[in-house]
Amino acid sequence: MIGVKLTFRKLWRNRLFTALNILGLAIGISACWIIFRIVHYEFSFDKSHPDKENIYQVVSHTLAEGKESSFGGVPLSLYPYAVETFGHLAQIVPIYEGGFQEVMVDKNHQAPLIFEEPTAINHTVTAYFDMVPYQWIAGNPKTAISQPNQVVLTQSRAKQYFANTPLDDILGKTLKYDTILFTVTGIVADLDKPSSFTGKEFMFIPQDKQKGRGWLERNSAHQVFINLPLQHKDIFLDNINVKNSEEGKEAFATYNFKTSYGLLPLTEKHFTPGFGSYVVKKEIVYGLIGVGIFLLLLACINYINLSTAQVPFQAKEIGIRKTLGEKGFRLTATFLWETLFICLIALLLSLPLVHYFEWQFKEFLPPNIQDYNDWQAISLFLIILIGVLTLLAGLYPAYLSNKVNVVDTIKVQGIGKLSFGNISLRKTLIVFQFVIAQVFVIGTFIVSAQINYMMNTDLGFDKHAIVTLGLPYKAKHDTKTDPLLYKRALEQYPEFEKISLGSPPISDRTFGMSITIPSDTGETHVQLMFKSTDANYFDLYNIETLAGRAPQLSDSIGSIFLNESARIKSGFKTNESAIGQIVKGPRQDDVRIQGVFKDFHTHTLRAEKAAMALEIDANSRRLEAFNIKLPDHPSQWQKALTTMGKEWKTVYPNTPFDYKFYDEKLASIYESDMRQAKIINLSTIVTIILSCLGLIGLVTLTAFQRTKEIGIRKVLGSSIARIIMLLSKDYIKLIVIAIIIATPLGWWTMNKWLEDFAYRIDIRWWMLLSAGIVTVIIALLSVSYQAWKAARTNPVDSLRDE
Amino acid sequence: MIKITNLQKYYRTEEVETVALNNVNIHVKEGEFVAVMGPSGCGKSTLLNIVGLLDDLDEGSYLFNGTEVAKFKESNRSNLRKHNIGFVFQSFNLIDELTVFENVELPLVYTKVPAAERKRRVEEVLEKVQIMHRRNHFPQQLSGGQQQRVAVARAVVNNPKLILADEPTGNLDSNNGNEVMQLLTELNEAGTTIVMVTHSEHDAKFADRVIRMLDGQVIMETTEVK
Repeated sequence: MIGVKLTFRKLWRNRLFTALNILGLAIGISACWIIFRIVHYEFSFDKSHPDKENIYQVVSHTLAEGKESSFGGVPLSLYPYAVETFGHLAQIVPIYEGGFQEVMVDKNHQAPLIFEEPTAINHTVTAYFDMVPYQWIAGNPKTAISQPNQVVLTQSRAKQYFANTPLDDILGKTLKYDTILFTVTGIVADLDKPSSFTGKEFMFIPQDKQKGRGWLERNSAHQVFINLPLQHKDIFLDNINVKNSEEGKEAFATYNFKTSYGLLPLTEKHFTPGFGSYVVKKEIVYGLIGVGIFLLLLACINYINLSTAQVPFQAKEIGIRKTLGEKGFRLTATFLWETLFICLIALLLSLPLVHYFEWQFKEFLPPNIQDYNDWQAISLFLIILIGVLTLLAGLYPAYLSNKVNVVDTIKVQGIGKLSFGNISLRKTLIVFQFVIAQVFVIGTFIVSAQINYMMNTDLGFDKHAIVTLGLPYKAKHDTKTDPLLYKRALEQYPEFEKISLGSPPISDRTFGMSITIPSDTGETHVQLMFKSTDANYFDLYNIETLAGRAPQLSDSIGSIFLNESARIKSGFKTNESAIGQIVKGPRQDDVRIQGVFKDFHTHTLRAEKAAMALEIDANSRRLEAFNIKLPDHPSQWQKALTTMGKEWKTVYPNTPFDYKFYDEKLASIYESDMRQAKIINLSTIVTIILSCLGLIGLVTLTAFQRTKEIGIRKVLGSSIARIIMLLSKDYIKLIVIAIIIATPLGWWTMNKWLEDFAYRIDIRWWMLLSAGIVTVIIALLSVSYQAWKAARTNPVDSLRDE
Repeated sequence: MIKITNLQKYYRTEEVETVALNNVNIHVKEGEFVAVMGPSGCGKSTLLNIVGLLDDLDEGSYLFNGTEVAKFKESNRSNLRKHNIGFVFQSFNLIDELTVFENVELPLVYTKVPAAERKRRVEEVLEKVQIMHRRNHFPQQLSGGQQQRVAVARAVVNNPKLILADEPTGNLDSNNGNEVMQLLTELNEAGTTIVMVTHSEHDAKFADRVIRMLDGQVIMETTEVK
């Protein structure tokens, strides 16, 4: 009991060190915890399928222009052919992705519940349930999807649709998918282990997909899995490929390409990109394990640094205990107990840390990982982790304390004579830690500079005070209404000066088509990105015309506008020379180039500006959206938006009024970059904290060892500032060495990262320099407190008893 | 009780070898109170550390209660120490994080005395040194004299046969010093053997015998007449 009390009181007296130790370990433990969860999750994929060794996905390969490409889609004809030929030898299961705009759940006497664009709907066959091991809660697996208009739901999906209905009562209820009624005929428990089979609703294959349309048309939404004994594998493949060659013979010869089929084992599927479903590269998982071990080592090094720095302070106590008869084993046990205790507190602290991380950085975790919290595995891992940590971090300080010489400690108060392990080894570790930290600091600087650049670059069009409103596209919305009606309605209000129909400059929906340009040798086809707008588009977005004229209403027939890149791609020498030229448009009609306009950005700054053609279009399907310029002053916006809403209800009574400020929408396209920046910032903070903890430990130790020297210097007249300088100088040297090593490393890494951006900043020397200065300042701050404490010690105390 | 013959002790650094103790012969009988005196650096503390089995000797023989202990390993020494020897230091050497009670209790923990028995014995010895009222205080909250009384209590709680005191009054004023010396004398009268290193002629008068040392050698032994 006395040992326990002593530990508590000691830890409490050294609160600062205890807190630093706990913090350092908690960060290490949290990182390992999260990494373990991810690694465990990734490696658990498809492991629970009883027949996993014999299950394959049929995948297709294409050889065209000397290049081979592969993907997971197969022609619809493959499944019926395979069943006909191999149905007696193998389980053959098609999984065709179902697409519906909405699912409606009928509520008696209440408004129906509507779920927009439901995902994970699989069209398949009864054999699917033989291949994938579901536990059936309700319904008969043999008949549940043997007929059209039947649907089997997973438990989670059933809960979503019928929140308060008991599972057994859901059977027989109906769901309306767009216009078709389905009856719920089965409920299965969600798979309790990660799986490549991610469907949540299962239905029979619809009529139009039951028969194929030849062997050439393949779609990634159409996949086929088979479960067949190994000895039949080659026969199956040969047969399918022979059939494919026969069916495609003509097309292969005409268009000079070839397709073939292969089998991807289910056990490999999760680690093989390119064939659909969520995958991860094995290298990334191994990399993560490496990062985990590395962080754990950093945390251990820090703990060792900090706790060995404490040994001199405890030397007297250890000496007394030894004098009174305490044995080495007991002393070691005390140290290990102390380490274990700190590790346990750190573990407690990492609980909220892990939760915070998983909440804040959800998008960095594999999708659906929350559904698979394997507490048994995690607990076992944490127990082993704490055990290993305790031994790794606790044994060395224990060894050092066992070496404490009793006679020295009880007699002498100055600790200078006592030796406490290898200082230069620890210096090397500190440099190593700071190299890593500095690479991250450089990363933070460059990433934030690049994001700042992307947010503030002139995109080549005006984005201020513009609101966009998508044209209705769902069947139940007012797709038949002429968008001009709404435009006209708004034009009657003086506050709407500029209204344009058209695809916004940066949009998810792009169309690639070609124009044909007559030349001396015949015709050239030029592939361009096409945008459809009305005549007000240039004015609204303030797009500059370089030659010819801006679009007019009359351009809806026979006119085309090119941007400068498209003009160059089309082979016209100057902007002016292109004007008036007649080319063949995408619909093979003759069109006249009426104007050349300045390039503007059509994607994020990761991509080049596209070579683009612009058509003045009366076809509302391609126009995509209303673009409305609000009055300049924000105080008038609310009123304008209210007016827009009111008119919208009149023209589009069945469509929700869902407007977006275009500049906000543009900012959101950089969300993934912002997230990346966030994780880099976090990593920087973590590595800097860990490195500084180690530094503080080392400084404390050496300051203590130099207590006598400091005392003598002070007696001889040195100022406190000079002593702080004296103590800090050595460490700042280490940090500078680390920065010198890290700078080229960071520069190279960040240049690689920047290569992903078509438009990017240049890394300037001052960015690297400022990153270095920031680190030096942080290091100086963490060093100077201990140095200041040592410098302030009364020399009378440190010189007495010598 | 203690019979040391031809004791040699060297201190070595990389370049020089210093003789700390040279051909020292000492005999202490059970129940004696012996003072060791001499100027700083004469080797008296080294001698005390060797007698207390904290330090080892380079040559010579050391019979403790008739057993040769000169070649004992650390674990054997530790055992012998915790059952037979109590220490009192000039700088008290109490553990700051433990209360008066816990400091005194510590030697009993190492000799595996049951808790109830420990409580009884600690209280008894605290009464004896008149510090019972401070049992729950920490060392920093006590005066020097009180701290040394706690240290003496800790030294005697295991009923050792031998108490080694290294300048026990060195950090105390004369009143407190006298109190501690009184305490040691009482223990000696009750049968405990005491070896005390001191600078103080006054303190030496409490002993039965004074051993005087110079440059690592015993130069004179006198028996005091009280």
